[in-house]
Formats: sequence, structure tokens, C-alpha cells
Amino acid sequence: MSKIWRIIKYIPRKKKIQLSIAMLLTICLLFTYPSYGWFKLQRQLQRYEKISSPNALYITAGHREKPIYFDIGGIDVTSKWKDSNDNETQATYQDFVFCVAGAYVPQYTLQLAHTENNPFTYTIYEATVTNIRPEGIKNKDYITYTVTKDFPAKEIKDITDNFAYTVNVGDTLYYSIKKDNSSNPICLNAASVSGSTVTKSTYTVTQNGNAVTIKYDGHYLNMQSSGDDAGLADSTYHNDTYSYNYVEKHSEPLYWQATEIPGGYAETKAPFYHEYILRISWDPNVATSTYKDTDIVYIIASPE
Amino acid sequence: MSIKRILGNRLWACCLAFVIVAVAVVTGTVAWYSAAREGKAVNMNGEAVNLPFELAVKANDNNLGTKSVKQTGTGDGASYSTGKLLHDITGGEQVGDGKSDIYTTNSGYTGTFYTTNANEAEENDDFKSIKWRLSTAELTKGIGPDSSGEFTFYVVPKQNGNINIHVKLWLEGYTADVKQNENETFEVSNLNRITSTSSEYGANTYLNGHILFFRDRTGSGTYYYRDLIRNGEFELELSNCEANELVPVTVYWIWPNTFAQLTCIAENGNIANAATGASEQDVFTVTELRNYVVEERDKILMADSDLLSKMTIESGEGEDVVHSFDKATALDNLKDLSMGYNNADQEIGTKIQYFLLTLTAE
Repeated sequence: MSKIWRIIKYIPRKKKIQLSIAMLLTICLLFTYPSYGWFKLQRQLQRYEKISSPNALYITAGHREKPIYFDIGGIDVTSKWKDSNDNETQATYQDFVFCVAGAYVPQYTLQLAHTENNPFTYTIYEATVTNIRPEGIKNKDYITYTVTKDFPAKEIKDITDNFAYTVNVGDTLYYSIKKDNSSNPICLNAASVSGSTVTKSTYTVTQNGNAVTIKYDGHYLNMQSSGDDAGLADSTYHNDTYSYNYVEKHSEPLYWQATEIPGGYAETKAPFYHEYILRISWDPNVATSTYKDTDIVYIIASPE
Repeated sequence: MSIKRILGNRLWACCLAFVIVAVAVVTGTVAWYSAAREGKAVNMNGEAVNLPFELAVKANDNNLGTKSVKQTGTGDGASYSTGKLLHDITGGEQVGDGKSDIYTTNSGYTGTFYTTNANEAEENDDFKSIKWRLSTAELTKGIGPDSSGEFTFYVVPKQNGNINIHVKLWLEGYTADVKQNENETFEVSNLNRITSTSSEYGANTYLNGHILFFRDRTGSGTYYYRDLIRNGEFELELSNCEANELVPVTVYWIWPNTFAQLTCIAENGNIANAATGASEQDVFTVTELRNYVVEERDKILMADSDLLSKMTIESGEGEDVVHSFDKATALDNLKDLSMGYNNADQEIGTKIQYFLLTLTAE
């Protein structure tokens, strides 16, 4: 071994360098040739696909705020409306404001589902909002909403308010049912339903200076129209709702839906929000305070 | 002064031997690599020749992948551009069409196909990687949980005999600004590939964990899937091929809707048949899916803590402890497990707008 070292020591430096480089290159060849060979021996197919986005639409409380502020916990059917002269009348309905908010969608469907333990009628109207107290009786002609500026998502928070005034936390907003150019309340119910034929209701409103026609086809999909149980749900959706056979008839939910509602402005395709009032009404002779009961109410909006 | 004289005969012999050994190892390495692919032609001096196959897709314009469409005007006056493939917009991966030619498949169909091409591959990248055209209808709104489908491609054998191909399927997520048009098409801008340093990279891992590929499925309308392709990699073994006679290959894919359906413990909608009396293949697929979920749970479930104990039972002791999927345990904890799966789905849907599906064959 030492003989070899001695011999190597006496190799001229130039030749030593040449030898080292030659050996180094040979080693490099060892590693690179197979790697390069592997890379050349490959074929590929490629395509792009889209992932659909979830949660295009949110159901929120008034002013597109978190749904926790949408509270229909207790309805007092004996409550009274008080006018400016302190005269009281029996209340026959209670209004609640909610919004549909989210990314622009060409059209969406709004659905309402509820049980019928309480003798209530549910109606959805378009809502209009102002920061100045309107004329009329509180809770009859308008309802109040206190602003919290607590929004469910960043994209909802970033939607520009539809009105010209600034809104701060703690401010009161006044919501009432929107009326069209002929002073008709804009209700989401269809004009009439006969069997499977639905006639849409039409309203004319002015948007950006133009007269625009709005149509709604909201109707119950499974309500019994006649017989002893008129007003309750029939069995059309029983199997979709429950996995067992017998269910108390007031627990069979009624399903209502309005389709083809335009979701925002087509020109800008910006995120939007629409405000609605859910009016829960009753007949004071039928709804009394001698008993109380609970209903489940679902509101759903889905893009079409 | 010649090297031979300086080094002495012995040392010269050593150096020479080293060089010979090096050359032998190099060619041996290549020969080993060639031998790993059976039926591959290796010429006399042990050099690797090109792949014994090419890939092909049917020439049609039905479905080349998703497009970006620009809408001008609104309502009845709206007009839409013809749409650009994402390959061709800024940020997208440019991919060629391939070489067009007439071929016959092994079932007797003759038609035009686009293929990857050996000779041109050396000079031109357009023919090493080509657009994956499909004959199935284009998906309009995009895919999400519960989506499923099939992807077909063809193998062009370059010689007679058996061919083994190693196939890998991989999804790369992209972010983009997306505007929905009135006719349900989309305008895409700011397309950006998600890299390992992006904040969206976690979502990309979930995407690859949630979209599953299978070699087989049964049924019609709703399917039971069979033969899970783990990690998107599988060996394709084609026997008795004839040169230039195309062999079709189909992979089926599904993005399971719920955790229960993925692990086949749901009342209905399981992606593989877990009912009593199911075939051996089905039983095997169910087991494979459950093992997959347990072993790759950090790529499938999004949770603050490890959900292993919520879906498995332990057996063995000490270092030999084995965790196996247990249906009863999973059903007891279904709420937590489903939340982990659904949160991962939510993450995918909010962070990733498009993905590039790549099939690599070697």
C-alpha cells in the first residue's frame, strides 16, 4: 500500500489532476446516465377540471349578519300593537328579517320547511330597510334590528351596503315589507297554484331608473288543500324526511319553495345580499295562550 | 513521460480495471433498469431503447377539460366567447395535442387518435405530454363531493408481446379568480399553481386524498367500485399485444360524499359493496378502503387531534400493537369522523378552484 502512495506522490501534478478529473467524470457518468435515462422514458396525459365552490350562498340575520342574531325563539300570540296614542290592538302577526347573501349566482331557490304544531301561517316578503324610523306602528308596519357588524364570513362582510348612509355597531335599522310601484306588498308566493300548474305573481319595481318585472312562484309542495287535515302536510315527502312509518301529523313538515330568483346584478357579478321578511301570522281566535308548542323552521337557499 | 511508466504496471492495471468496472456498472445499471420493464427491447450493447409503448387518446373535441369563457352583455343580449382551455391562459400548463394518426383498437374500431410520439419526444416536449381528451360529456359546474366519472386512454404497443407499464395519477391544485356567467360557464383569471410553499398546499393534499381512483366498478346509475388504486399508482399488465393495435384502459374515479360512504359503514351510498354475500373482490375493496383511511388519515381528515382511536381497535402489545378499522367504533364516533372529512372537503372547495390531472406512464 505504501508503495502505491509513494508512486502517486511522484506523479507530476498535471497528470495527477488529469487522472482525478477522469475518475470524477466516470463516477458522475455512473450516476447521471441512469437518471437521465429514466426521465426520458415517460409519457404523460394532462387535463384541467374545475372544483365547484361550496357555500355560494349564506342565510343570515338582518344586515347580512351572523344567523345567530336571527331569533324567532318566542312568539307571543297575545301581544299587542301600540300606536302613537297608546291605543292597543291585538297583534295578528310577527315579522322577522333574514337575508340571502353570497357570491353572485344567476338564479337561486329559496326554501322554507316547517312543522305545524302551532297554528301559524308563514309568508315570505321582500324587505326594504332604512335607518330612519318609518311611519306606523312598531312591529306592525316595521320591525327593528340592532346592528352588530358581526358577519359570518369575510366575503359577506366585504359586500357593499345597498344604502347611502353609514351603519355603525349599535345602530337601529328599520325593516318593512317592500312594495312595488303599485303599492302591492312584494310577496314570494305565486299568484295561484292549480295541480302542477303554478302561475307566478308579478310585480313592477324601478331599479336604476328602469321599470323591472319581478316574478315569484313560491308555493307549498306538499300541503293538503282539502279534507279534515287541510293545511297539514300530505305524505309526498314522508320517506325523504323520516325513516319510520308513523309520525304525528303535525310533525310532518310542510315544504315551500320559490325558484328562479335572480341572485345579484348580472353586469357586475359582484357578491350580493337580498333581504326578506318572514311573517308568521295567526288567527287570534284560534291561537290562544292556553297552550304552547314548538315548531322547527328551516330556511334554505341554494344556487341553481 | 507516459503514465504507464510512472505508475508502474501494477497501478496502471488498477486504474484500467477501475475504468472497466465503472463502464460495466454504468451499462449494468441501464441494463437493470431495462430489465425491470419486461418485454423491453435492449440492443446489443445494452443501451436502453425508447419505451415499448406510446399513449393515445381519441381525436374528438367533446371534452378537452374545462374552459374559461368571457361573457359580454347581459340577459337576452348576452354573448359568450368560444372559451379558452386553461392550458392556454396565463398561469396554465401548456400541453400539446400530440401526433394525429389513424389507428385500430383491439376491438376493431378504426379512427383518428392523438398520440405521444417517440421520435419527436426527444426534440419536442409537445409530444411527451399531450392533452387528455375524453369522449364523455364535459362537466359544467365543476366537481365536488359525490362527483364521479371515468377517464379512458389508449396504449399503443410498439412491439408484439407483453407490456408492463407503471402508471401514476396525480392532481395539482390551482387557485384562480372565478366569475360565473349567466349560462353557467366561468371566466377564469389569475390562474396560479399551488406549490408546496403555498398556504393552500394542505388543501391540495386533501384533494389527492379525497378523489379516489379505481380499476373497476359494477352496477349502473349508482356504482360499487373495486380495486382501489393506492396513491394513484398501479401496474398495467397488457398481454399478447400487437404492435400498433390500441388497447383501451379506463380508470374510474369518485369523490366520496361522506366519511361513512368512504369507509362503507353507511346505510346506503357506500362506494364499495359491504353487504353480506358480496363478492370476494368487493370484500377486498372494502378492506382496502378502510386500511387506506386509517393509514392515510392525516391526508383525508382535517381535525385538531388524531382521530385514530375513534375508528380503530387495538390488538397486540408493545411494539406489535396494530390498529385496525372497526365499524362499531367508527359508528359510535361518526360525528367527529364526519366532521373531519367534511372540514377537509370545505377546505378543498374554498382554497382550490381548479386542478390539473396528470397521468404519467413509464
